Amino acid sequence: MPQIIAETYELENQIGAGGGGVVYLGRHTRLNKPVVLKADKRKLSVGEEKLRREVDLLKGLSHTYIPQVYDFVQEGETVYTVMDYIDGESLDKVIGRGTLPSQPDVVKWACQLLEALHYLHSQPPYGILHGDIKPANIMVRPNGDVCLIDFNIALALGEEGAVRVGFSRGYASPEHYGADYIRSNKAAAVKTGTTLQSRGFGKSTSEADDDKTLIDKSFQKPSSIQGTSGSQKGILLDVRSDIYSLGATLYHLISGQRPDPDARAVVPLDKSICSEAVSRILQKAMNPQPDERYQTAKEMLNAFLRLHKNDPRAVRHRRHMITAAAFFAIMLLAGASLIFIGLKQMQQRENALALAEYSANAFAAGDISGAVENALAAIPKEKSIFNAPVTANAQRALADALGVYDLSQNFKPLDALALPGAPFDFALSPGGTRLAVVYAYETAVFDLEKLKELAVFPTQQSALSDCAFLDETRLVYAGEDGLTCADVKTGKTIWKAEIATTLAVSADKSTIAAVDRDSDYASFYSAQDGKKIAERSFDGLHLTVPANDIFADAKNDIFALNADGSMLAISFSNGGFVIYDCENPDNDLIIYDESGYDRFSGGFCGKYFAYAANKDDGAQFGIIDAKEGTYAGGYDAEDEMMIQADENGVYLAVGRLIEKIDTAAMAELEMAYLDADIASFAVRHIAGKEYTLAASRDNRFMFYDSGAGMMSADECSEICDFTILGEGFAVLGNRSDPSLRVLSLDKGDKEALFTYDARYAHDEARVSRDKNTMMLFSYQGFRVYAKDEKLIADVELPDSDNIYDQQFESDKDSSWLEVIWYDGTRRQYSAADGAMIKETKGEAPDKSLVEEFETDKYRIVSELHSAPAVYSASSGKKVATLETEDFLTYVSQFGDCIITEYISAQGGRYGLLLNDKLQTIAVLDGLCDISGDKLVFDYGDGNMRQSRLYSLEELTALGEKFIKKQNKLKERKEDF
Amino acid sequence: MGSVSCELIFYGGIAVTVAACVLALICAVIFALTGKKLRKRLEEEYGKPMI
Repeated sequence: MPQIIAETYELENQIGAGGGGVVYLGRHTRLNKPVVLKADKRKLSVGEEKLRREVDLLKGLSHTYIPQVYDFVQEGETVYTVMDYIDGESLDKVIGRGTLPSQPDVVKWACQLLEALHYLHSQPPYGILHGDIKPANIMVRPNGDVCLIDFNIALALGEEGAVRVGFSRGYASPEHYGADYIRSNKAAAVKTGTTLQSRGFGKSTSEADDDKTLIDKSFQKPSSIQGTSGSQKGILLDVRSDIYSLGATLYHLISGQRPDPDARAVVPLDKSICSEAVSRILQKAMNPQPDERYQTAKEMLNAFLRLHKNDPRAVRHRRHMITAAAFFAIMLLAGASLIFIGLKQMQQRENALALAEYSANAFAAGDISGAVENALAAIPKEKSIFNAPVTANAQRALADALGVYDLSQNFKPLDALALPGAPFDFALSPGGTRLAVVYAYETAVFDLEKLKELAVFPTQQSALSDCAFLDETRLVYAGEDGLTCADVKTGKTIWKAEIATTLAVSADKSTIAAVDRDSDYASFYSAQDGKKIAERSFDGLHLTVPANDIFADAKNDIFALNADGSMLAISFSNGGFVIYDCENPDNDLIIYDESGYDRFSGGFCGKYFAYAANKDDGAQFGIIDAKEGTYAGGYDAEDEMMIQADENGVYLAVGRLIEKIDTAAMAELEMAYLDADIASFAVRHIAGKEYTLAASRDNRFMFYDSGAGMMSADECSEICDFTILGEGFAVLGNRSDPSLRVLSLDKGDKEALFTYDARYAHDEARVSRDKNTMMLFSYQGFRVYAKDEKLIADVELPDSDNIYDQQFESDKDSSWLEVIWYDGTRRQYSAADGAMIKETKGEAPDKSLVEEFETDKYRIVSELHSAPAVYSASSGKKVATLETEDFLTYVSQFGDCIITEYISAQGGRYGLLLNDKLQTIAVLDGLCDISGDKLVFDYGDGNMRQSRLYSLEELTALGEKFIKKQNKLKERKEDF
Repeated sequence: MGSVSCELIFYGGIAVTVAACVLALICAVIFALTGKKLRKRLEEEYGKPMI
């Protein structure tokens, strides 16, 4: 007959017994649900109130891993606690079978038990201590989860802990035993009233077997410990005791060995048994000193939960990932930064290259301001990571625009003059410093020295409108109200006359002849006051007037006065050409009564009149003795002819040739010979020398000296219709471009180093080491000059046809010219006095003409028919080729730069200034030597000139200074 | 004389970026594989992670 407890629970069978009581499997009779009834060994004599309080404590618990306590019933003297029946088996049975659970299972159970413990320990007010955690009190459910059972000795914690009521050997913490190795100085929750010896292991307990809970018979009221009485017989425990017990339980589960009851003797588990991390957790949980253990179940739970995370391999893996991620992030950032910087620099460089090209174009067009501005814009003002290094092109463009290395006596670009319209005609003042330009429909006067506009006068609406200077201040022009004489400084009109388009001024500036486009007569005026002196009828003949004379080029007629204004030469639209004698009409000279010529040019030179008459299939040149009325000479040609005749002479351009005609002897002197047909030309005496400016039909223009030697040549965008040579100035323009190109003559006097006889033909010029003498030499011979122009030596070299090479060499003290003949003879001539120093006879030189040059960083090999190759001096590898068609003669290190010197196919010498990347940063035309820190130039004009090297900063400063000056000029122009 | 510095910087930047991306991809694959292997090993040792 089953025993019914409290008329509700039927006891079925005993399923366990321990220190705390007997455990029965029962059944709730009404619910028909299996329950566990635990009969407390303590009888009601303990006090129902106390028992009730303990059960109430457990009844309030609800956790997955803790059985639910339902009821507290009394049957006779026995008190039963009714709780959930937990299906499964206890862990001690699992261990007992000799099958140890796997570590992952142990870890999982540990976490579940720690959750349960955390729950217990967190119960108000101070938590509940299980007090007897061991394998036997842990049930493994069929689903693999565990449940913490047997709260027989569970106690509510007070402020300072709970009093020990029992313990299980091996699982109980040292403080359960009151062990004396617990540091007494620790403010621990464990307090011992007796020594380990006196408390003993089991002496005061009822010891059944090793896994039994030993109940402390000396257990007293917790209240006595909690300070309500002076008795201190109990041992205070806290949550750390449960942690120790759980650690010991887990230790047993993993190792299969019950831990030594003496915590100090517990052997840490090694790698062969469990993971180091788990072993460390257990070691810490089982630390003999409570303060060294996990202080809470939560803390220990976290240690288990973080096993994955805190595993050294996981940590290392994570660290490697973070390191790699950081590395790649930095790499990406660096790469992106480099791309951005590179792009910015490339953009800036492209802009700089384009600006450098604009600068070069502007320079070629004579627009120096534009060239300098563009070159400066191509050079970054500030050093920035986003700015590419200054391009060689920009530096070269700036050096070219500023002309710092062009020391030649030559016409050099000064600037461009902008006009409101395309020019019709020009007039140059007698002094050659002022220029009047006629355009639609004004006449503007410029000061060429200051490039300043002086005055603007309204002009007739005809492209035939003419102008001429009487002197530097008075200008006669075809004013809109009539022929006008004005002061170019004040802009005021001096006098006015009848309406006229074409005019001529006598060489003595006393008489002005003028004719209107529609008139058949010319009027003569006094240049002084504009009074009409005379009038001469052409008997119905007219100048050539195009159908539309607004824009047409109508400057194809002769209308010229002789020196004193007594004769007027004029060509007519019918091809007629007459020289009128203004004083005696009977002396009129009719050159052509009528002809097929339609383009005339000519002028008076003393008593002679030179003319050129052109038609499509031929031309005629002639010189008339106007005084005698005789034909002095002339000839016909198929090429177009042009004449410039004035008091200085008669100059004829025919085809590609410009020649000066000696009117007395009718001799011809070549002034220039061009590569293409001449479009326009001008000849002028400047400082005793005769210069020729010629524009060709292949869009080029050239300057020639009095010896017909070409001084310089340049290109222009269109054929130059107008070429004017003033006093130290040259002006070029064409009828479709509203701008004029102005060049000035630079005599290069300031930089003169040596002066020599320009007629002496030489290939090279060198300065001696001491700079006291210079040497001009060629295969034919050499000359030595002193600084005072004194010729020290003039030597002809023997057997010049067999000279292989010449080298000018120097040592610390002296310089000499070494001449090498093909037969191996070598002679050295002193650069001080030209004397032969020594003569040796050696091996015949190698004819391969391979030369090698060395600089600080490079070795340059130059062969006759191939571009010089550049090799690295350190590695010996070929690093570049110097792209030039000309022959490399010398290579010199010059500061950080390299200077390469060449001879062109035409025999011209020049140098290239290269930066350390072998990019050309300046062209050094005429470079002949490097003397110390100076570049020496020889243009074959009798002067050696020197220049220093300009740094980029100096060039920039010069450019900025130039621009400032130009801006001031512009402001002044605007003010005007 | 070869490329100018700005081109070197630009193309160098591209090279560094591409290299970083490729290496990052390779490393990501390697880390994914090693991570998977490690997770498996850790699960064998500690069971499935509970957090």
